[in-house]
Amino acid sequence: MRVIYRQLLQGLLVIWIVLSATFVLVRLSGDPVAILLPENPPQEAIDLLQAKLGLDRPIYVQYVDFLSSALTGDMGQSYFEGSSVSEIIGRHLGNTLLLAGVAFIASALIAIPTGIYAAVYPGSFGDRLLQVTAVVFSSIPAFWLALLLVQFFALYMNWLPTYGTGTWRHLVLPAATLTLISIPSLARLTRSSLLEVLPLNYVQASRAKGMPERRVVLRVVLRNALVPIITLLTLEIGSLLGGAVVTETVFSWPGIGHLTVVSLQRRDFPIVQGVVIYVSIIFVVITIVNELLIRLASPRLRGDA
Amino acid sequence: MRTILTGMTMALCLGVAMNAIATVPSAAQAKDGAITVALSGGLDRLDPALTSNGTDLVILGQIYDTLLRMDPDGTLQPAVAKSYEATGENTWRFHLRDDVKFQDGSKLTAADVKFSIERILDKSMASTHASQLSTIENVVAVDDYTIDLVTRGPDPQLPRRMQAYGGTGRVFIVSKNYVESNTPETVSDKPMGSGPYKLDEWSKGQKIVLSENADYWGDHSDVKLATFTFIPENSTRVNALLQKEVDLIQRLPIADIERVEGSDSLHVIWTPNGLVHNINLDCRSAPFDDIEVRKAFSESLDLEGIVESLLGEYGRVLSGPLPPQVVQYDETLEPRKYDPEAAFAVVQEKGLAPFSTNTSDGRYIADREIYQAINAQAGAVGFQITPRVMEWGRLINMIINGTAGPLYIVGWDYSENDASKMHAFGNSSRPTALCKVPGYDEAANKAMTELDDEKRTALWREAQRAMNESYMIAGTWQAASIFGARNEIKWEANFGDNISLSDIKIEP
Repeated sequence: MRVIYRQLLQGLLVIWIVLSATFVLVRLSGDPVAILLPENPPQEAIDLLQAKLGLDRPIYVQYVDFLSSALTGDMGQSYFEGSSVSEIIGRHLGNTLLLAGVAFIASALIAIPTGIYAAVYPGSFGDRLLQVTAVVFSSIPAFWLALLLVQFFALYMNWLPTYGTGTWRHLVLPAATLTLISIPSLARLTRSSLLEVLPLNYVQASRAKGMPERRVVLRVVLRNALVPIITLLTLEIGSLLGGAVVTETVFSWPGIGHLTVVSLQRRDFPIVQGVVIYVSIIFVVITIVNELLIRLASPRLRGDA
Repeated sequence: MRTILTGMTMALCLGVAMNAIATVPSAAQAKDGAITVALSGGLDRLDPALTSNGTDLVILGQIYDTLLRMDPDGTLQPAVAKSYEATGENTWRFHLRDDVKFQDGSKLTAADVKFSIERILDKSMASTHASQLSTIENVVAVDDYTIDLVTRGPDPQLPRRMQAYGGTGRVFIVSKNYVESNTPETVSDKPMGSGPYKLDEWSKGQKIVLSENADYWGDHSDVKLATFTFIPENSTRVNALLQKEVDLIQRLPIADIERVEGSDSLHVIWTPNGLVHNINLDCRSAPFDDIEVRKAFSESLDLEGIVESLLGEYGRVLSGPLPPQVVQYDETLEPRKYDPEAAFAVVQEKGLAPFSTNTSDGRYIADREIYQAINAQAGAVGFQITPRVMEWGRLINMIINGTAGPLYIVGWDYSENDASKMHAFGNSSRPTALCKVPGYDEAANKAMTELDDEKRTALWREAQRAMNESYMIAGTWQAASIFGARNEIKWEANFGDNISLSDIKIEP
């Protein structure tokens, strides 16, 4: 249990550091006033708007004010939309979780078995095929892959819509894009971490004893590989959230990736800060869950919990 | 582990199923008067006093009325105001129609117009439209259908602010009673005006649906129901049109025009854009504090060639700072000369130090490519320029702080079709001004308060010539607003990127 507290404290520290860095970085290249106003604002209009948004105060006052509001769960108002940051992020977060969730399950279901197969039969035809396709799909830019999928499945075959949300059909192409770009790294990592933990002679010994192949893989291989796979899946969630930025942009999918890009471009500080808070919290939670799962999966580590 | 995974899978399946049951956006069908339009940006808020975001204004223009309308040639026409006149040097009087109703059934009167304007001028609102209406000292409702706008000095531009186009400074008429009896959130989320269309549904971030206002005082159009969706990504927007998921798209990229024209069921609609792009030279510091250097820089550019190759028929080079659709446009201005030999000689003689400049990427049509071509041509005659490309948010901050460097490209919106917008960068007292142009300030300041149209035009022409002679602007070009539409949609675009549903005809 002590470990969990330590993780939580570490997590809070991480959130605070990330947040402070974001707070400073987004302010470095100017404020939203210039973007909100016409290209030729009189000084009076600039001053008025800065005062209204509270941007005329010294930066440390803004920082303290922001931190103390954030602690009470109030992340402020968007500078552009007339809504609170929590409402706007709430509106987008569900869409991203749906997209990333589907891609997470789909890529895990495809990549992990493939990776295990390649590790158990290194050098086989299947292993080499995996290597080749992994190289191809990991070097295609997500943006281009998305456009290719649209070109074929939407424009040419007429099966699926090109953009937007609303039905399961709208989900297929963005989720497929995200799945395809995350499979290669996940499969390759599964394969290489398995090769590390797998005492190969042990596997061969089990085979030599005449244990059926299915039992070899399920009993011997998987038990040893569970810990690295759990860690890999944790990392996977991070790369999915990153990939969501491009995918959401191409498909006009109203998620937080898309929201972050737009908000950064127009200096909507409260939204950017809010997204950072949410994403950091998600990561801290995932890390703790990961830690717990590893302890469950690996009896040797339970002792010092 | 397994239970967690199973739980997650079930939750997701449930989510997908819920989504499938949820309302499916109707497929585009330009029939029964229902159309779907894809805009190039999202909506922020639909409170006419608080936003000047272009896509917000497109929607506001359907829901709300304005006192006046504008013809494509810039002539003002009656709308809610059936007529208007200057009753004194400092007073514009508007006579309102008495048959205008808000969408909640209440009558629109002078009190609502007064309230709409005063709300924008209220400092606590920090309205982005306030600075363009700052000459107004007092708004007087003479009776229910007569209103006086009293200004601090003569303001010939004021009636232009009473029509819908031109970005900031718009006055859309809100209902005093509705705004006062509702929260600011409701006013913004459920806009209620007296315009030809009313709000049916707004799913934020996804779509907004407008339907015809049956009680509208003006003409009715073929469009009975309009769904607007938001697709910022260019290629995605074009694909949605090719796929017939939408009937009309804003901002069709030049590169995709062939794809649209190649389809039997689609066509391209375009109009010169109100936006004029200037290469502004900063004459307060080296190297452009010397008029000969400014002239040499301007002469080193074959802008005709650059615009022709990058924009084709969808762009044109202008002789002066203003586009032809501006009422006071001076057609006698000499086009700028392309004379690289002369420019080379000047640069050699002056021995200029290298300098670096900045540009935005993607803010204006082909801004980055045009900037690269400009650098190459200026470099060919000896200007040593280090180019830097950055995103617009950073550049506009630098422009306003006066740290954007010796030259930058910026677009001015002349959708109001009036020369006064030129004063935004010409007026030497503005933060964005680059220098004092000899003879310009006198002419322009007089023009800003001259009520006689003929004299006013003469003064603005003088100002255009002064601007040209100073070489503060090394070159000017205008691009086009390009739309893609299904063949059933018959519409003549006249006001840049704006879309007026009332003007659209549907012919199956």
